[in-house]
Amino acid sequence: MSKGSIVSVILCIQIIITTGCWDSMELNDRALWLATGWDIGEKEDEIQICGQIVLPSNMQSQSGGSGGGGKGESFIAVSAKGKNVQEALENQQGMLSREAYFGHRRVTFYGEEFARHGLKKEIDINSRSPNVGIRTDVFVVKGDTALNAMNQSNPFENPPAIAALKAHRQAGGRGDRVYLDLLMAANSEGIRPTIPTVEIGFIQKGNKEAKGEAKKTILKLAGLAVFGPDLKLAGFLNMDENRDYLWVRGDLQKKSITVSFDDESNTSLVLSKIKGKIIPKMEGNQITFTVKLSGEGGITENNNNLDINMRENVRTLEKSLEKQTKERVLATIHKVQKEFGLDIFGFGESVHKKYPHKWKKVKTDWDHYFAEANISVNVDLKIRQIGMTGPSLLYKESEIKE
Amino acid sequence: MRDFRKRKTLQDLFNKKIETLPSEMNMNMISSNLSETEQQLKKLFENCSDFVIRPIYVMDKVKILLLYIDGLIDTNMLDEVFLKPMLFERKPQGLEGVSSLGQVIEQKLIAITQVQNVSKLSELVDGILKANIGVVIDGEAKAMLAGLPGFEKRSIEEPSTEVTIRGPKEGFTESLSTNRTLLRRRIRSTKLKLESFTIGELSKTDVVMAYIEGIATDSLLKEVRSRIERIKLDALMGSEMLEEFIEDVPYSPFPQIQNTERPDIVIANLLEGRVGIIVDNTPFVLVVPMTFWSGLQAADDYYERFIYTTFIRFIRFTLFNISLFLPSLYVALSTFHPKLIPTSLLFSVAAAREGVPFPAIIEALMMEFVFEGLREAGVRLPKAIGSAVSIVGALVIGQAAVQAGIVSAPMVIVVATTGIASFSIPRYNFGTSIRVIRFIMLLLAGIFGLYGIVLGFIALHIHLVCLRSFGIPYFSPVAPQIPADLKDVVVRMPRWTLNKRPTFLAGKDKIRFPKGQKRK
Amino acid sequence: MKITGLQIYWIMFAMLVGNTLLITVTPAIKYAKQDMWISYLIAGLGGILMVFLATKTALLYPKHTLIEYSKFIFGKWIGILSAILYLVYWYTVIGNILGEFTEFVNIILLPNTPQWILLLTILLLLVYIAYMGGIEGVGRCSEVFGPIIFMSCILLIAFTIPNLQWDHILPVYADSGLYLILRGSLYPLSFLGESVLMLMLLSFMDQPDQGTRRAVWGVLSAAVLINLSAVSVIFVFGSGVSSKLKYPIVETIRYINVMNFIQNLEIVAVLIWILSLFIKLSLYFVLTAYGTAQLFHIRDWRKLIWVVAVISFLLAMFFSGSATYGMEYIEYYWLPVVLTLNMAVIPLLLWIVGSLRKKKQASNPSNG
Repeated sequence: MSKGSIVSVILCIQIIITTGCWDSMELNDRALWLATGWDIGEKEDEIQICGQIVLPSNMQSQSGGSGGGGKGESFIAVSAKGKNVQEALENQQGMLSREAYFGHRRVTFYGEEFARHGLKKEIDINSRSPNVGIRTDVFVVKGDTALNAMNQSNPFENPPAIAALKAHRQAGGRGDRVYLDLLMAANSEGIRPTIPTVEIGFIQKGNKEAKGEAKKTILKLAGLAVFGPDLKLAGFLNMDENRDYLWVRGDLQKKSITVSFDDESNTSLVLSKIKGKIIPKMEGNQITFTVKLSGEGGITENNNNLDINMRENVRTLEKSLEKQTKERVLATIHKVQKEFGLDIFGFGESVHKKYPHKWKKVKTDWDHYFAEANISVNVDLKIRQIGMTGPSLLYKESEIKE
Repeated sequence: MRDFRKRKTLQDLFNKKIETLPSEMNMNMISSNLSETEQQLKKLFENCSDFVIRPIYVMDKVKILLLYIDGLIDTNMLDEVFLKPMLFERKPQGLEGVSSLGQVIEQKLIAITQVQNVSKLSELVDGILKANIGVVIDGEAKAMLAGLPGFEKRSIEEPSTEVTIRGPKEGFTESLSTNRTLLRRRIRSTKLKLESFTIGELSKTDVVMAYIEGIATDSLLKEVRSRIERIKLDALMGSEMLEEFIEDVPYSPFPQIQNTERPDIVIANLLEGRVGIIVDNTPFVLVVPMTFWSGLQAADDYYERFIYTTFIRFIRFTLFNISLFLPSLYVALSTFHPKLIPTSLLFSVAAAREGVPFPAIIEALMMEFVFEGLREAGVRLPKAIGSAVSIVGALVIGQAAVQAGIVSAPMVIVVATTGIASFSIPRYNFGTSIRVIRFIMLLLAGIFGLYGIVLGFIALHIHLVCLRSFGIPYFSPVAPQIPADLKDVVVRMPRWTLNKRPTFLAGKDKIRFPKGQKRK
Repeated sequence: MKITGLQIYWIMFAMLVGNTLLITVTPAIKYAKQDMWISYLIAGLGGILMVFLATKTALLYPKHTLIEYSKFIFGKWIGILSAILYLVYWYTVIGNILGEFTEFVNIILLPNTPQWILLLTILLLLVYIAYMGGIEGVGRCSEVFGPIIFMSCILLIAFTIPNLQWDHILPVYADSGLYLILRGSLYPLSFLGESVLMLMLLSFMDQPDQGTRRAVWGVLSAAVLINLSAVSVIFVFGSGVSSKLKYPIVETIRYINVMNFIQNLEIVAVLIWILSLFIKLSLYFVLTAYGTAQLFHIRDWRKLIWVVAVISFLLAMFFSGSATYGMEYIEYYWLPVVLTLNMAVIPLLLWIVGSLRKKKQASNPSNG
């Protein structure tokens, strides 16, 4: 091949390649979609998708000083309706001058109505689309629609979509592992799905005369939503019950336990090392469960006159804390058994792992077994630190109990 | 077919040109008739105003011609030792006749320098042009050449392109003899061989091939010799020109021949089995063969402590990669794959890019172009203005452009970082190759995103891995991998562990020094 | 063209890691559920056996390639037949891998770029390396890419550790059975068995006796790394979810989130995978061109590079045309034919018949 023909071939190839960079899209042609919300549409069989999109021009950092240091919100919430997510997005694209980009979507909200309607037939796109990952935080918006949740701004986080995620993690919850848990529960017989909930509440509680700034609302964590096997919302648990649930599952990161005494005083223990385990035991044909909870932590508040420098007092405290915790956790478990009859804790899974052959027999009707199961709780708490003072500084020498 | 014929005729022209150089050169012998010789020489050196032809009458009887080029000769030496005694010479005792005058002169000259007897006119002319004086005696059909070089040359200074903190501050100069001496002073053994060649019909440049016998392999020596000898040039201007003629693949962006101004680097390479090529009138000495990793090594690596230099080598390697890939990574990530950028960083970048009229790839190309232009402009400015220009350039182009919204701040940061990173590459010719490749990477990234960068990466590696420099694979010792030689590539192990010469280079003499020299 | 022992090690390692991790995890989990780690262990052992067998066979005639010595061992016609079987395997596998490559890059990296452009770019690179360096080039490139792949795998596994939940692997052996585990192990086994290319590669080595050791080490390292990575899928996702994902490794890597800063690393993983795939493709490419040249007694194998390129292009366009052809290829051709014949039966036969023949020749020198 002579030189001329090689050169002409290369040039032709070059022309073809450079006529279009098919995939490149400028950053300011993308609408950065941070959070998605699902709601029921008006018609039967329709859903409404809303999303929180960043407005980068309002997000200027302090220096730089170019003209647009606007005072506007740094995000905008949009919504559209359709039969499923894809259709709704298509309907929405008409009003967006930029193409929606989901690569940074970290939070999802389900309106309460939508959750009651059932998730099974609606959220497949989350795993199928190559743009979004399984690592998302999911919330059910208690008592409201996801669209309203999208509209909430947050004084700390700019944009506010991350606020819920961060608050969840700060509270010691599962953070963005929620969606994976949801999927695993949907795929398994031995555990039922749960999703944490948020609600829209006032920043300053109880301030009925609030005006202006103080009247602002904010998303706050509100506990847990329990779902049935067909992924329909069955009921709610509050924040304390949520923490008990997480403790039993072994996922809890932070917890504080407050125990009150007869003399109207109380003590608080903040746990740092928290473990929870379910141990099934088979006796004949009966399965009983022992839930072993353990934690280590330090006393942060001791409002009574015990001198907690003394070993005896520490033991007393530990025992009271353990007793109280046991009662509470047991109460939560019983509530779930009686009220919902759904095994959200994973007792079935533990049977599956330890007695797989027995599991095969009971798995089809597990909820029934669960509701009748015999569950006991063992709590083991250890107080490792007591803070900077021994007895409380506010009591006189004579009042301290040794 | 057409090309082939064209090439042939050019070659013929070239050959013909050489043949039509002054035909007087073909006149071989010097005639014993002095005036005839004088005529021939005057014709040859017609219009050469620096040629001096001085007839001298010795003992008022015999005429000799003293020929030299003014400026090349040490005239003091000439006057003192040769002329004055010659002019006032009495006929010495015991010496009779003209025939012995040649011997007398030879005796006189031998006292001060080397003397050569020539009988061809062409040799006489060559000798005069090479800083010799020529003495032609009437009646004798031969001439004498005595070397008395006394031309101005630069004194030994610190090399400007390769500065070290520690280590000798001598650099090569343009004089071949000085350069040779600098090498000879460091290796005091007969094993240091300095073979001499002459290249260039008009320039007759001296080229010296330096190697250490026993360490350099014979095949390498043969290859270097054959490549140097096969060149036919009209004039060899310097080692840069020689480099282009003996390189393996001139089309490659990467240099396959190293050049340096420091004698200690040349010596270190000779001790590893490489060959040095010194060219007259160039302070840059070529070192052959070269590997990719020599491009990333600096002289200072061997003068500082090994922990520090290992660390610095890592940093240098990282900076090398940054200077190659950073702009393309920025373009690829922000246009094709924003999800790889952490969320909060993405917001800052997106905010900075609002209102910028250019797509990222165009912006990157523009800024890179401006930066290269600044760099090029800065090279030619005198030192006093140079730094001021760079400050002005940075302020004007960087700050004002960002404020006007023409380019985005992250882009300026990227370009500046790339520029700084590229300054960290110790070998200048290596650094220049990166500059070109960076643009290609940028284009690939603009079309294909990260996939384009991977393609470029793979293509670059294929090229590097298949490249050879004088028979040695360019990427040794990483590919083909010789684990024993990796001690000096990306890390610098302490000196006492480097007791063997690199396996891919060394000939018979493989061991530098015995093991176990660490002080216990 | 000569390659060293260390290059064999890196070639084996680099080419096996990428595709095996990507494709074989889903079918393995589908059959063996959470016992897929047993499947992978079995596959690893099987792979080592296969490469051992292939190397021993090739050592019978260390200066000749498979095409040549299958004729020596089996006689002319059966030898040519077995050589053609291998060539068919190589041509189709190049087409399949290229098709699946373009499809995958299309999904993850560049959704809008037409597939033939991606195909063209990678083919240009393959032609470049085959032309410039041949086997030597492939060996040296793998010495550079291999450590990169190795480091990245270790790094990614290290990042995944916070996501692992150890009890996902329970209960052991209860949900599946021996048959299911074996069925699941067929997939990684067939991919690790691509190391049977040693039948051809040994003839290029400058020290063939090192071949066995290096190749086995290469497959072993690859198998260990593949095991660790594949098992981490189960630990992160559990068997229910991961059997339904098409590319569970990608999802596992996408799940990595370190300090809320390093995220969405699947793009980096895809880049590493491209490097590994490139080594595999270039190896197949060069060996196919070389083998075809040997079969048809063509002197200069470089001329055949273009032939192989064109055929691969057409095959790849065919494969990437549909979303399911890739899987069908695996189920209907790769597993039943290639795994049994090309990787197990033919090398075994070659080895047995070849050693018998050599023994006969040694004891009957007059027969030559």
